Amino acid sequence: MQDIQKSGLSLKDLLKRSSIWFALSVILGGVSAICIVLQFITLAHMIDNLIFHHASLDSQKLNFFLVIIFFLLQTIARLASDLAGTKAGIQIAASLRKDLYARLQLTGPISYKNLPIGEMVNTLTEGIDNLIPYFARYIPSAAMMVILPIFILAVVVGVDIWSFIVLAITGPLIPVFMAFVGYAAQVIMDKQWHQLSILSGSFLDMLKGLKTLRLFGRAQDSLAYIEKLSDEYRKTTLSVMKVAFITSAVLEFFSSLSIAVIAVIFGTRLLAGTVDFRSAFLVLLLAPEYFMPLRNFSASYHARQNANAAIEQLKKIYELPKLISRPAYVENTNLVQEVKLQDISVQSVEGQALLQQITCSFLRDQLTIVIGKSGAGKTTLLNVLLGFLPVSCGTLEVFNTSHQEIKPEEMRLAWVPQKALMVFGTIKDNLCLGYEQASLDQIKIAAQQAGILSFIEQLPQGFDTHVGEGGKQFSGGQLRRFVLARALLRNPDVLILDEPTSGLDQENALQIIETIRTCKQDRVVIVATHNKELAAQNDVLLEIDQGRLVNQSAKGEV
Amino acid sequence: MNNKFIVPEKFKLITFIKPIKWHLTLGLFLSCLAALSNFGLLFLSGWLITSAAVAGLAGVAAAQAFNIMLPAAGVRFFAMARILSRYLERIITHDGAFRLTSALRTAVYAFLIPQTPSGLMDKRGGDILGQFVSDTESASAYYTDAAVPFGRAFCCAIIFIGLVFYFLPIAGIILLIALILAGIVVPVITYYLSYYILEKMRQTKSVMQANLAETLQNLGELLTLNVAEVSMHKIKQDQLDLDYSKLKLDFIESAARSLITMIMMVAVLFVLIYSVQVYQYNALTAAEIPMLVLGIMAAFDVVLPLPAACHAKIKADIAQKQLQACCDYPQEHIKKSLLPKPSYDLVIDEVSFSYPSQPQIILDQASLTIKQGEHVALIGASGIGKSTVINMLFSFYNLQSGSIYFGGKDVNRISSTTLSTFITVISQDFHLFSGTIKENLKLINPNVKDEEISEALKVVQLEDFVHNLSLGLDTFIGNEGLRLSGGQARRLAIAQGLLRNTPWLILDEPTDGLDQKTEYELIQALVNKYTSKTIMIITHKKEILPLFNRVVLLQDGKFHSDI
Repeated sequence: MQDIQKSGLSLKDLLKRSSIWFALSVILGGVSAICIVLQFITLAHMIDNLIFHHASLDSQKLNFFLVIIFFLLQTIARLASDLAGTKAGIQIAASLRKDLYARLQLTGPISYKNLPIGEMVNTLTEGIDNLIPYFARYIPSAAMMVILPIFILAVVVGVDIWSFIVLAITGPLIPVFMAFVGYAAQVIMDKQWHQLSILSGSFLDMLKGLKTLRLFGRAQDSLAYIEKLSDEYRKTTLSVMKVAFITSAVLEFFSSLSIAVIAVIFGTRLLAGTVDFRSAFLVLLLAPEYFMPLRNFSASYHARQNANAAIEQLKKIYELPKLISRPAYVENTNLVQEVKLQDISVQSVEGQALLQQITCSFLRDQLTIVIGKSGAGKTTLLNVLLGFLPVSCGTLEVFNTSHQEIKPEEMRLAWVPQKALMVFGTIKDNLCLGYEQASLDQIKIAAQQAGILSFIEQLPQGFDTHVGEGGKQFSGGQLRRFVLARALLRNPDVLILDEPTSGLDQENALQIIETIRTCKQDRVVIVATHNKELAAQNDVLLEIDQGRLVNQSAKGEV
Repeated sequence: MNNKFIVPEKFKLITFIKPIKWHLTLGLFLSCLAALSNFGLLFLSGWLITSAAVAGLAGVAAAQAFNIMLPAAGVRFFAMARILSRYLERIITHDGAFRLTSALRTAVYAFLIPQTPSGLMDKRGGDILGQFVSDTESASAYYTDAAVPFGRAFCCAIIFIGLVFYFLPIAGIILLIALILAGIVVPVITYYLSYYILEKMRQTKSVMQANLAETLQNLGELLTLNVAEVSMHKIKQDQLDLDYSKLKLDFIESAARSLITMIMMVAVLFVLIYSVQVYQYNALTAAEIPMLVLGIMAAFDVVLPLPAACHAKIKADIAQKQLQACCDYPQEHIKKSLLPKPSYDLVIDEVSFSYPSQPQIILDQASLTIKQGEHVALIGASGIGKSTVINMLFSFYNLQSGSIYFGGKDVNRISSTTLSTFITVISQDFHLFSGTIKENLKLINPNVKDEEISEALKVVQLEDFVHNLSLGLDTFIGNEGLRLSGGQARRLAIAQGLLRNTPWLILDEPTDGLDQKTEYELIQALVNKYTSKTIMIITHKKEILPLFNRVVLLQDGKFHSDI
């Protein structure tokens, strides 16, 4: 499909969306690093003066003051750098969300019909949240990992060449070893990924199946199963962690050992009198700081892994094909006379033919019934009319009552889907969804047309009755009529219904059929159905089989 | 019944910690060891270089008299101890945390069994189960992320203060005050400042996720109603709120950390001033000054993680509270120990029922008797409450009046486990587990034989399907059976039920999503094979009704037999 766009969703590109805050975070981090070093230089200087040069406390007032100033500057810069990092992360998350939601409105619902909704919600919330620590901590600490050690090395080289050599050798070794171990951990992780992903979802799976297990009398026994699963999860994860933690152990090894080596080397050289205390103490103070950014970096390393995993998930949504074939409804005064499909073919995203060379017309004041086996292409046809699926060839033309061609987005469409949305609120909220300015009279007329007015007025709270979660309070037939009323409230020119009687009993189905029959006045009504009584009401009957229009007849024939 | 899992009266974290307390203690111990080694390394290094400097300045004799080997060995020892204990600490604490998660999950699950499904409904936002998963995770993260940092800070602080006090009492007192400020006052303030933010975030998040799920589910309709933008805007607004709260939390945490380092700096400077004064009176050696300075800096390493630990604690507290609220429910006092006796007839006697907080009356003094061996179809308008019969039979909800008897006993006094050995229900909202076809069948009946499996698959018309799969019964069916079509999944669920071989079989809308031919063949195979079994089918398909002995209509809250 020509609409598929290869996206540029990568962590690197996202970084650019908040470059100012990143720059600020890194600069402030650098300022803080400089202040730490200055603070330690002054402190070492001061302690040396006090101990080895017998200076009085009074004479060190300036140094004292400087230590405090550098310290305060360092702390404030650090704090500001952290916040700038978080701000950058949040800004990127917000901008990415904006992008994704805008994209979803272009992809439409068909595009993601194979993705589980729960997984999408998770990706759009937790997934994006997982990117924040990466931008807020990992990136700034990666920058700091370069800046601070180089700065410290520069200071140390001026103080003592031996310490410089020790630090300069151990420092760069750490990332090398860490990458090495990290790679090994990744290999193990990849091997066990499948098992890990099954096990990590197992608790949720068992919870979801609890009712089934209880009905089958297996709930108590499944407790042992849960324990077994979580124990397996523990063992598998630990086997990965044992390797992954070596990364941090490597870091510990170099940082601890180089402090020890510096202390011992200095000890011997101080004994020999070849070096002064001031340099020794300064290097000892600086050594932990030299490794600190590395430690921060390694602590935020999993942020990178989480972010990479999240990006993979987000790509699934980001790269969804844009299937919406026309802009939203534009307010206009045209009345639709005819919707005409000319030689239309439709392909699925995978390139499979869904509809082939369909030519037909839907006319005003007529009830067009679309029949066919499930999977034959009825819903696809409706999706094309609704604009959720583009045609690969052929044309969809719309004519107004003066027989002039108008744009498809000028059709005043309403749709009653199989599973309709019931929002958390009152009946009125649900009927007026998308048309909040409707007057009570208009609502009543629509409810009357949908055959539900008397039922609603019978309720103690009438239109203000709460529908509860997903409308659980009401029967399938009642809900179907609420949605029908919602559709009619917009006084649509083209009314599309998908299996309006599915899941309903005979009596409810007949009522719905009667309602549909009466509301075809001054409208194009298109219904896809299996129901024989409903199909018998047709003015035009279209039969679809394997994506082709196999039969087109008129008036009440089935 | 498995007696290994004793469900405690109340849901408390402490109950689950007990069996693994040694694991957790070992983790804490190693963590303290790592912190102490770090302290020792810096403390001793400071002493070593200053002493060496002093000795070096005092002349050749003094330098030769100075034994550098011992402290140097000590420094190396601490360095190695730090590396090893850190590594072991990580493994052991994570192991402990996983064990805790496991214990917590088992307990939550055990608590939820008796209140399924009634206790899991009536709440907004479909993802209540996902919430259970993340709550057990947050609650058990309490150990690694909150208990260990606080425990380590407390234990190590006592040792640090003691050591510093030994060398210079005033410095010890300064450190004590500083650590109380940094390790108690700052975390307490952090806790109170953050608690409400985190609690509010949780609420906003669950509302936002529910809205998002609803929007994605109904995007097509929202687009045609022209409100997709509005509804997404609302979600984005909530997410921005959450982001802002995150920024606030981050600020609190960073500010708390800055405050702690400030306290440290003040303490260091105070100790420096005092020790220099004392040194001038020769009450302290030169070497001890840098040692104390470095020691105090190292001591603060254990309090720096506390603000983050505070946040972990709040999250764990909220999660625990939530789990408690879900798991503590009034225990039923009726003893459920009766055993149904043959013949296994079902008698519904003058029963009235409606769902809690819902106006619709489902049953109004309705009566119905189904004899053992009958094949009955229950029909009625959609939404009228046909499936309710199952919920009432298993006492998932309480009746308003009347009684239901099975095998001559009140079902209220038969435990659902006992009842389920007589009645197999294949409910409409069946669940298939992530695994293979065989695993799913075995989970329901571990002792099932292969011949029984193939017979059951034959009845549900899945034999050919499974036969044509390259892996056959070992085919992975995906999460919740998503790799199967709706009809296949439903038929597999029916096969699960058939393998239980109980005298009663209740099927709720078993043929939804099946084409008419398969549907008819399935039901026909079912009633022909199990002639002696009582079969009750809840349906609205007219085509299959002739296959049954009796058709019962549920209308106006009453059962109408033989229509």
